Amino acid sequence: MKSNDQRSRRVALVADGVMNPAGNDVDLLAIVMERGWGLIGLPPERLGRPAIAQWMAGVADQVREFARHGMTVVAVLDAEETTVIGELERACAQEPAQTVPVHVLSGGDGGDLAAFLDRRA
Amino acid sequence: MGKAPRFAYVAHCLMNANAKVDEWAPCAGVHPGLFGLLRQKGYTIRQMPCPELAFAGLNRFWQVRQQYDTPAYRRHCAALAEPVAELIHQDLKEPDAEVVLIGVDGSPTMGVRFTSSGPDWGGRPDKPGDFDSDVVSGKGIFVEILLEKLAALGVAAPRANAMTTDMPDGDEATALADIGATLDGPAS
Repeated sequence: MKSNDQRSRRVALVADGVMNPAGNDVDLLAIVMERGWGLIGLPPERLGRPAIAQWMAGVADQVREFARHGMTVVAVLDAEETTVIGELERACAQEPAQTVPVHVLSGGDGGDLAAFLDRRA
Repeated sequence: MGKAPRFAYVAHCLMNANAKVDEWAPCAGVHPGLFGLLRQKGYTIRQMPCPELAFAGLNRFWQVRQQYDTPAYRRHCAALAEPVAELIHQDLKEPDAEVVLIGVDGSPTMGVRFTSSGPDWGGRPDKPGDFDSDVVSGKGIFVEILLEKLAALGVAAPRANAMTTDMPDGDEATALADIGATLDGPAS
């Protein structure tokens, strides 16, 4: 890698609600971005299980490739998006299985998310 | 009455520079200029997958369209494009919804107006020096396949534009201004 390559080597999978916060929600994406993490935006729950499963198969392959090269990968998920979470877990459990540290959003001001990211930076 | 929903389908590496081809990451993670523009104009951001990353790996060098244009890579792109096309189809069912595609011109995979071409380009090991290829009019392979999937669903090709980070002499300010006009849509 040349010195002018600026990649952070940190990647966060983010729930659709993080990528696209509703009007009055705390902008959690700013917390992720200001720390230099790259994103893998996950699809919205309404896409439906078959298409989400197909989407997650591709996400899991990307995660495996980042992890294989020693990059840090985490997931920031919304507990209400049960299909997204389930299909992500299922896809990452396929061989070669890949564990991803997960932060489940709890509705706070983002301080817990910042601490989660900082522990893994 | 609320604003019409607007969705931007964005090339993966514009939200995650870690996926860029070796040596070509222009920022740490998210491209700040494009992200700011999308937020400013009220777009919901949909990040598309990076087909090259999982197929050719993180340490891939810069390749041309001819190298990726294989049946196996097309199948890989088709598998990734299918749920993306389905989500675009869903998004467009919202009343007055708009969808815009933002790619990366010069990319063999995500080019919208321009892609890379080099019939003789084999790769880094035997081609020291400058990148021996041309930028030609045309789409990248994933973009081409995504548009085919949309057509099969009866969805017209969305408005599209691209960053020029992979173009020789690509100018970021010009690209962002041009993308901004595309995001605004045709004057009514």
